[in-house]
Amino acid sequence: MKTVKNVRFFDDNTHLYGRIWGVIAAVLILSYPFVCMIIFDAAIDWSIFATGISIIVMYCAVGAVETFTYSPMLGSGGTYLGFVTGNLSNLKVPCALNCMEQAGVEKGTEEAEIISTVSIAISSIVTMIILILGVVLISFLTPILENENLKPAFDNVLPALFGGMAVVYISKNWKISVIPCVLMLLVFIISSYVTGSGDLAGTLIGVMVPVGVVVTVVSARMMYKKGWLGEIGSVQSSESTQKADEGVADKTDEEQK
Amino acid sequence: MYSQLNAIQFDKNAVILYVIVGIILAVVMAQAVFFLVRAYRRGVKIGMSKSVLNKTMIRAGVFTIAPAVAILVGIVALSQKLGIPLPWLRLSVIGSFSYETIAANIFEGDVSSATVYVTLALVMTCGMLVSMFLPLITGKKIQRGLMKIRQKDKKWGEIFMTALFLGMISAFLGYIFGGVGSGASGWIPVLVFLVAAVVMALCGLLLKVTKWRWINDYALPFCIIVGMASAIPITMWLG
Repeated sequence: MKTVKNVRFFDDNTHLYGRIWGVIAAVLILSYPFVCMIIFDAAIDWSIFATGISIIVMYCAVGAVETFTYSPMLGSGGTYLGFVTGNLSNLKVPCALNCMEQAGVEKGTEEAEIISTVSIAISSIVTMIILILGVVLISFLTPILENENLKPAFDNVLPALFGGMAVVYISKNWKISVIPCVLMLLVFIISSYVTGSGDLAGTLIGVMVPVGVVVTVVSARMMYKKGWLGEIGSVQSSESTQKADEGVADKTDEEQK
Repeated sequence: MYSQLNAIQFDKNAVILYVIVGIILAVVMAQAVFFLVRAYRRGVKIGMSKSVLNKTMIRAGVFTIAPAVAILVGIVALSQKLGIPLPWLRLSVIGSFSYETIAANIFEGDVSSATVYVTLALVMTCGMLVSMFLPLITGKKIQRGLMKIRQKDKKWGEIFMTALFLGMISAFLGYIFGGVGSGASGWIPVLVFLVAAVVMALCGLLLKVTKWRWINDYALPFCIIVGMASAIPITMWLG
């Protein structure tokens, strides 16, 4: 009982601190246009703003979907931090996922929560440092970063990232992967041939991530109920995992006493 | 004081804008450091090995480099229209290059007036309202729900978490194939994906044969860099 209380205490504080930091960051981020209005004595052009309303609504909907999709993956601390520092699907989520896999922690445990938070925090700090250096050295770096020969490399971060990740995850969990992967391939390939371009994929991905998640969870549940899923392959034994759950938390209780 | 500020002539690269963005990002950085220190201390307290935590920090740092440079490319691309401070802010916090680009392009032409600048900044910011506030409202409920699933049936809890990740990976797998109908250039991301996948498989094989555990630590960042580099000759071939 005390074990559960101990974990809850830490978790409750994570939510409290996460909300406080989240509100501070959101207010500061939101203040930028208004501070600029004061500095330059400028007003909003509502006719231009009106043309952006549909985009705002669309991305607010994407934001809602991303919240429900990525929060369970990132844990409490990772969620509060990730939704302030951004770049979720192209950096923070894969980074947290990779670090959890490498550390051999069982997803959903307090250890996974800690690894996820540490990895997202480091990723955020490193990103900010690289961007600060980039901004300071922008006149020197612009010719390199805008080099036409290098452009394809920067345009293909996502395929390179998910190519590596897919091998690890799909090979370890192929039974769960088959249905969502086939479905997603069909949806995107058919949509591409129907439209004759790749333009729709960028819009579709916002919708298809939650669809993919729901399809995977439902199909996995059905396979689990039928007893088709034996050991799932994502958890490796590690020093940290062996100390997980009750035993470790008991130790914490004793320390507190 | 107000009249002095009022006198500032519009410049999308004004020093004051760098100062404002710097202050906002300093607070965001402080948040990251706060959560890092807190999580690290908690990890040690519950008996996690310091070497696991330190290795996680190194892995996360190395993993971040290539995608972060790609984000920097986004700042450079947007800076021509919006100056440096606004794209620097927008791509350092919640948002995405695709959204910021779409939002910036609701106004065609050069952003030479403060009115247009602040309007675009507002549109870019408003699109992230839900992403900024909804996790603050739902975060606790979602995590408690997951805890309940896990307490009820530990094995299903584990499969459930794996299914969440695989759902995301499957969607991005489809996304990579989302341009194949547009002709040869649509196959570039597919081939890059395959190169990265093959390199990862080879790393796994090498790890099995040599038992060099360090390969495991750097396999994914290595795949990302090789995959990105492979895009250059592939694009020359198909682009």
